[in-house]
Amino acid sequence: MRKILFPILGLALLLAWPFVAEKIGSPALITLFTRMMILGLAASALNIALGFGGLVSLGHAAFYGIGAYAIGISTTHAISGEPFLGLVSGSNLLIVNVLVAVVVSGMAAAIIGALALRTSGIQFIMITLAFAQMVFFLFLALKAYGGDDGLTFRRRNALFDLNMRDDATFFYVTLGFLLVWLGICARVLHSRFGLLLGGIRQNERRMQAIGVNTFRLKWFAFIISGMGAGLAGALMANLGRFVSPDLMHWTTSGELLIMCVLGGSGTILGPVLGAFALIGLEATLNTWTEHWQAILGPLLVLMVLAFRGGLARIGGRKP
Amino acid sequence: MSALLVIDDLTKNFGGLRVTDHVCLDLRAGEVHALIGPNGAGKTTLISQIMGELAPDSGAIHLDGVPLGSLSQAARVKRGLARTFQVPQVLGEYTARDNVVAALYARGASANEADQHLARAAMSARADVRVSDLSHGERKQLELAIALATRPRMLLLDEPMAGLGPVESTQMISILQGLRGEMAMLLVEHDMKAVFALADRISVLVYGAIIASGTPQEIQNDPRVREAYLGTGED
Repeated sequence: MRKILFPILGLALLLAWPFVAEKIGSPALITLFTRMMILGLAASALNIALGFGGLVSLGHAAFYGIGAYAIGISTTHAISGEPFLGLVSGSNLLIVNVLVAVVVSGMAAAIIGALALRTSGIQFIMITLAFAQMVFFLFLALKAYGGDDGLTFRRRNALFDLNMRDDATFFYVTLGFLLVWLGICARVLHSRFGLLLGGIRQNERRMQAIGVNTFRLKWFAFIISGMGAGLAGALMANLGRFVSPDLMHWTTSGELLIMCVLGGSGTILGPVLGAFALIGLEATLNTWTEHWQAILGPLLVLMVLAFRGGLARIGGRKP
Repeated sequence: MSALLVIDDLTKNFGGLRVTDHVCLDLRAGEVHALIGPNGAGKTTLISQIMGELAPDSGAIHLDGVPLGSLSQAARVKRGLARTFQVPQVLGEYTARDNVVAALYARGASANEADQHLARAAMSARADVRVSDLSHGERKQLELAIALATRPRMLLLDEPMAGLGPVESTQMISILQGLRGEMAMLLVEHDMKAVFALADRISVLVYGAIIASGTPQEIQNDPRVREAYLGTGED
């Protein structure tokens, strides 16, 4: 009962949140919570590789940023009317652009994963970091799409006849994507693939001895994980109507890792809880002092020590 | 009986140390072939080469006439090779049943088969216990159930009695007796009671080389084996 009670309460709170924020006269809280959900989705995507597959990636900001740039580039071409590379016209439709973002980030994950997964441990962490930094510098040098200034577009992508300018509407759209993604994560975790992937995380040698092609399974997990990060990037680009190479800076990968660890890697809801906790703390502390990071660091250490296994495992629960 | 697994002139060096020295071995379908020898003789290294975990420097391994040379470990398992480990390699966060189910999924089989493999390894009563809560002996039995779930034709057992007490050893011998004839087994073991209870043939490996092969009786009476491994019994 408790296992489903907390998620249902959380969902009810989120559904009511835009009304609550308007009621208390803080509509900016709607955008803040939208950002939390998007970063929760990105952390949850990383969790497929990290929590389910034991792959500590410090390069997921690359897929997050690629997803965001897919939106920025497609939308910019749709507005200007010029085809991308003279071949494909852009789009202002959210569904089309999200699909493009997910496919492109999945392809990037397939290429990076095919190379990075030939290593393990600290080498894997370093090689994913190196690839992400390469992508970061590539977009930094891409003057056609704003270089280090990034890309700004006026309107959010269209979805049916919804008023996407309205922050509350975009909040619910983001919530919908988050729920679909968490549903996919739950399916993955409880599938044959999930059981074998968990086995690889626990003991790769054992899995090889029963005939599992462990490289292929880890690669699939890395691709799904990259696709999820791309989806989150696509939503973040729409939230701010702005993309820049900062999205794929290595510190973003680090933040996503912290969210997973804080919330509970290997759980379905943990990374989302971690995102809410981290962004919530950041937002609260920086209203108190400009040296908020000096407080946040020790606070995170204390939280990780106090809630071993993450927030999602408090009281022995593993939602 | 025809040879199921043929090891032909296999050699492996670790730097300057020769751990497998021109080994030739025939393992027949359905037989239990024990491989004995002192610690460091290269018994586990030989199993690792058969499974494809380690690549030999020279020589060949054939399963049913098919060279295993470039086949991956996964491909060898699909062809009917399975192994257990001296130190049990199990999935500690899963239940015993899920460990077996993982092996079934790897083969593309249904999870419903799990109970029959657990039963054959005398693990039915512990099926839903988390592996981290199992004793060493139970983990050894679970390893066997996992290996059986891959439907092996040739089972490579790396010291299945290691670390077991007398009661557990007797149970393990009885479990392995129950599997006799269904699949070939290469039994690497130091426990001579188990070896003589189970083996149809025995090969003795010393410093990476086979110094003798034969029936248990022949091996027991072989002076080279007595000198190198079994002892003369005169002290």
